[in-house]
Amino acid sequence: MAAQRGDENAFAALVERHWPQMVGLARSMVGDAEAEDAAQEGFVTAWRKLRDLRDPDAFRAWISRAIVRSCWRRSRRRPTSVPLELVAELENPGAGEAGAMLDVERLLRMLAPRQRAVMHLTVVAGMSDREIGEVLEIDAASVRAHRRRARDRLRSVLGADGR
Amino acid sequence: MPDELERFDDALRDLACRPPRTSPAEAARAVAGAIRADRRRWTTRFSALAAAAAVVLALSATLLWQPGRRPEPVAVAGHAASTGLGEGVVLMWLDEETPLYMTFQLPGNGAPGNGATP
Repeated sequence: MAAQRGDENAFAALVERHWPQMVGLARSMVGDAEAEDAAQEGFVTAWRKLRDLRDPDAFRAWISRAIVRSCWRRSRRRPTSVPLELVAELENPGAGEAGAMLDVERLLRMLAPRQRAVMHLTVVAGMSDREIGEVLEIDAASVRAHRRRARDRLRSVLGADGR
Repeated sequence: MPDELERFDDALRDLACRPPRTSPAEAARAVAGAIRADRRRWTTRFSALAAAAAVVLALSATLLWQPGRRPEPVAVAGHAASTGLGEGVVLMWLDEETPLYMTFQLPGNGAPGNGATP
């Protein structure tokens, strides 16, 4: 791959091609406000490590991993706890915007970072458990476990919301 | 309940598929700029580190390296005279304070055990 030989234009073309999907992934991970910064940071880190990519055909999974890591770094820098008023709002229909329309960003913040990634890669990217496992460097069984826990969490919050 | 989870999935798709504020072309330019800035930052850091290492090396060399102290030239003859060296005795100074006396004798001239051949 030309980008691996240091061709910046080739890498710019890759950024252009994957930018919308990677911003989408970052949005699911860190929210809309920080998504583009996180995605850019992920691409810059990826450029530095591009020589580590063995199979150029696996670029999509590889760049997804770089973006996920960049989002994790950002999540670690910020407090990850969910504010109590947010939980109360989600569990109390009509108290906030969550009553009428799903505030998906807020719901995502109630999930662990890895669960958010699994949910995005399953629901939005349509990846198989094996592919998700490759992105997150875990096995397929762990992917299923993360998804199950995420669904349980959402079910409990949305169940309370819908009551 | 499944409806709620489906609503969540739909909302997640909507969120993730919303077009980014920055267009792909702009993003590619921004990433290229960030890469160049990153490279400059690394180069600057590396240069600073190399300069610091060179300074440390130079300082260490200056502090640790001392030219070998050589004894002052000794007036051997005069010294020999003053210390009353006998015939066949050679005095060498290993340094300013360490003399080394060596005695030479012709075979048969000395007592046994003094270098004479049996």
